[in-house]
Amino acid sequence: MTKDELLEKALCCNRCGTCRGVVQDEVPDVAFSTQCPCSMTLFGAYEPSGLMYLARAIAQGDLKWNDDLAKILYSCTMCGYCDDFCQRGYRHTPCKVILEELRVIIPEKLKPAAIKKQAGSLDVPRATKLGVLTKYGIVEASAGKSAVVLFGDNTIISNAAKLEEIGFIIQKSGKKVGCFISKPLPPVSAALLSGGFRKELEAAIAAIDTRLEAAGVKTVIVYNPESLSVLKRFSRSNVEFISITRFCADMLKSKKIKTKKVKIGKVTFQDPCHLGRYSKEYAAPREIMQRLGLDVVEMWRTGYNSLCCGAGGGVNVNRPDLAKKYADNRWQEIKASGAQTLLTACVFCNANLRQAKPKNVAMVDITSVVAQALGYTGKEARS
Amino acid sequence: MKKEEIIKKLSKIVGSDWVRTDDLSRYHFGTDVLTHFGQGAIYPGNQPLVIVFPGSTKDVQQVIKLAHQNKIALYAIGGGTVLLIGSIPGKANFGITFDFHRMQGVHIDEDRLVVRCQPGCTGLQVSQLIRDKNIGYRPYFGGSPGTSLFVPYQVFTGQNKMAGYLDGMGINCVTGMEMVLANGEIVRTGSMAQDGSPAWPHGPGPAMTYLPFFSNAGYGIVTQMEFRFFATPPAVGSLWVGFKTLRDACEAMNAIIRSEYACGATVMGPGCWTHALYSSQHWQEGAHFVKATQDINLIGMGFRGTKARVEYERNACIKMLKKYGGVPFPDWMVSILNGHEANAAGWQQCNSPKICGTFNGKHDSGGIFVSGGVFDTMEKLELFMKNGMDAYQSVCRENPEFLNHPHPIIRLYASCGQTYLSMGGHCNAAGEVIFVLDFASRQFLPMIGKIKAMFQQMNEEYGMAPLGVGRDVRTWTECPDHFSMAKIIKKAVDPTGIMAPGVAMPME
Repeated sequence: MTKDELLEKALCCNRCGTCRGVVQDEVPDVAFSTQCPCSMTLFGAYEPSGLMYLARAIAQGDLKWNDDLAKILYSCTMCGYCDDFCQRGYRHTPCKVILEELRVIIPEKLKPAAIKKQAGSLDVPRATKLGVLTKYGIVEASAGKSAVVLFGDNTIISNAAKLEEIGFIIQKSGKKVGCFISKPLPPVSAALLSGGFRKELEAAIAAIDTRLEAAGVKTVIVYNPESLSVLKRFSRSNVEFISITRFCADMLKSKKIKTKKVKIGKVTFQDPCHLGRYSKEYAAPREIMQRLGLDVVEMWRTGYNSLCCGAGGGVNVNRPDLAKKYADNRWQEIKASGAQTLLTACVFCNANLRQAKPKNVAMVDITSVVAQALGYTGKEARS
Repeated sequence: MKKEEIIKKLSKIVGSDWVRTDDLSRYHFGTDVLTHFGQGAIYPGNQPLVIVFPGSTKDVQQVIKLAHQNKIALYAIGGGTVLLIGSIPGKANFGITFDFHRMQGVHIDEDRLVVRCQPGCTGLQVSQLIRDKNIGYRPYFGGSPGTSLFVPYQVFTGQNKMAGYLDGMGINCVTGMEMVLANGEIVRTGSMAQDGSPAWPHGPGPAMTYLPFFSNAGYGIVTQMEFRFFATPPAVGSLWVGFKTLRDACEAMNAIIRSEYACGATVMGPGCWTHALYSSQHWQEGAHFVKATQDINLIGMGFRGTKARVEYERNACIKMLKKYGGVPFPDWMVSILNGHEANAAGWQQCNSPKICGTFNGKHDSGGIFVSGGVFDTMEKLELFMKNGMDAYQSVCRENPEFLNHPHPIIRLYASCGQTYLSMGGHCNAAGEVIFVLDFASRQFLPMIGKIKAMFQQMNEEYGMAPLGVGRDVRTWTECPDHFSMAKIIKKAVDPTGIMAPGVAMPME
């Protein structure tokens, strides 16, 4: 992107400020009036409009990069609320693209080490655990035989327990699903955008497209929402990318699928930004909860107004203090909802919220709940 | 006093976390939507020396006292959602800017039918909170949805907008305020004068509550304000009637006023279809509508009440206006107002961000106040409007791409506002005429320039008093009597001139 292009985009923001928050219901506290995590700092410069002004200033040469600016930039979780809200309501300032571009053009010396490391997330681990899937009838993807495949993303590729659970669900569905087991696909995720590695991400997804097309894949099931969102966004292939929650929700529609009651009390759901806002999948988790007969209570900020857990944009690795602060804020609302169990559909939401979790509320991955309901008793579901 | 010392003292008052001097904060508080050429730059960006985030009225008072003792200029921004003018320092690297993000308290007093808010609240926050209460009463808010309620000019416009919509709009529901003056004295007015004071709504006038409106913090910093609730009408309606001449429209308007039917009835000259612009579902729709009504003189009005009353009043007005040659707009045209009503219902205001979409269809678009003036006779006004539209249309005819673009629009406000003593950013003098030309792209600048030149020529021919906006020095000279009065008040409440110099009043 040229400086002029960045400026053109940044100037769309007229600082109406509505992107920083919407009050969904009563405002029990100032803290609940914000939707943008950065806005919780209460500093205008940290808010989306502040960051749009940062882009404007950098593009025009009004400001030079320095530590302060880098600190502000990396406080953003890139949850996408500002972009979505602006698009939903009025004009469209492409905040998402601008924020990503700022992370590309920031001088290398100002990039935090933790953020730089994220480039490494493209590498396939030497020893993957994808082999466990074969126990559940998931076969090596090959040309003409694998219309549906499971994507070995960075959060499950080495996690045998999770793979067992997912394998079990897929087996129960009765669907024929493959996976690139012996030569996995690059485990791309939005972490690369947070790190400013957009070109590398696009190149990796182009390579993925080639392999999917060669294998004749029509549908890819993705567990990690951060992978799902970038695959949906950057893939140029005709392949459909669906979340594991959508897969489960569709599976549970079948009368042939028998489930048992899962006793987890009153539940609420944390919409992962990359599942909901980026991939527009708000319905699937709710369909699952309904079909499993769970006692659901929604938070104030939910669905397309859901509040980020605070982990995104590399904040969890680069600014753990802020990530904790954002998580604390979310927990206030979770607790106020009266839920006994928080369901999530994202490893990062799970990890970040867990650090601030009160003892009297349980946290479970929604896939684990589905697996339990289907009769799975393995490690992941038990945890 | 040195900058470092100021920061130290400010930190002592509000806490070091709440004083900011970083580059981006200063840049952010030194620029706004109007400091960039592409968005209709009207004045340059000037950065404050420091930004302070008070947490209470006491904090504000202490900061003001510090500034007063050391003759430091003060500027203010409410909820940080300001679109237009009023919080940019009068010169570069100058003064302290208040930001009220920490003061977002909202308290609803159902017994007195008021809502009390702090300066960091946004209209949207308050509206939604009250809407959720669902008690059948709501305040009317003017201004942008995110717009801060305070600083006090941000109780923004709306006074002469159509008042017929579900939630209505306007500043007249403000009943009282708490304001810290330049010497640190706290003044409480109207319903906030004493605990439990009655919350009587009243229009702009001698009441102190309205003194600082449009002063852009030039008289003091408002730290709390109360808004009166009004019953939510069960039904609303609107009526738009076109006339051959502006004179016919004005005479018909007189009849409407005498009848006491309708609310917010407004005469608009050619191109005054600002409501469509502000309120249609999307800016293209509004733009097309305005362009389709360029030559029409019209009266717009709203109705509120029961369904039967709305229908009865509307029909009565149609009958009356027809006597003056009025032609009611067809339903398809009026249906655009559904957008307005939905908008008003959604945001409880008129100037939604959609106006920004209108104002800046693309990043390099914007609005230019082409020309304006104050007329002493109806004939001059009519001639000016006629010739003005002719000038605009001649440029359009010569430049079809300009005409056919969904965005370029000329809007004409005639006699559109009341004048507030303290107004600084606005120049709505009674009898004023302003042509506003929105443009969508820099490619249209030559045409804008051409139209502007034609208007300037007309101004000279008619010998009008010119008008300006924003920091244009003419803002302060257009109405010398009003400005003299404003200066007297300013001297009384801010003798050292520390409150927003260069914003509401010229830099000394």
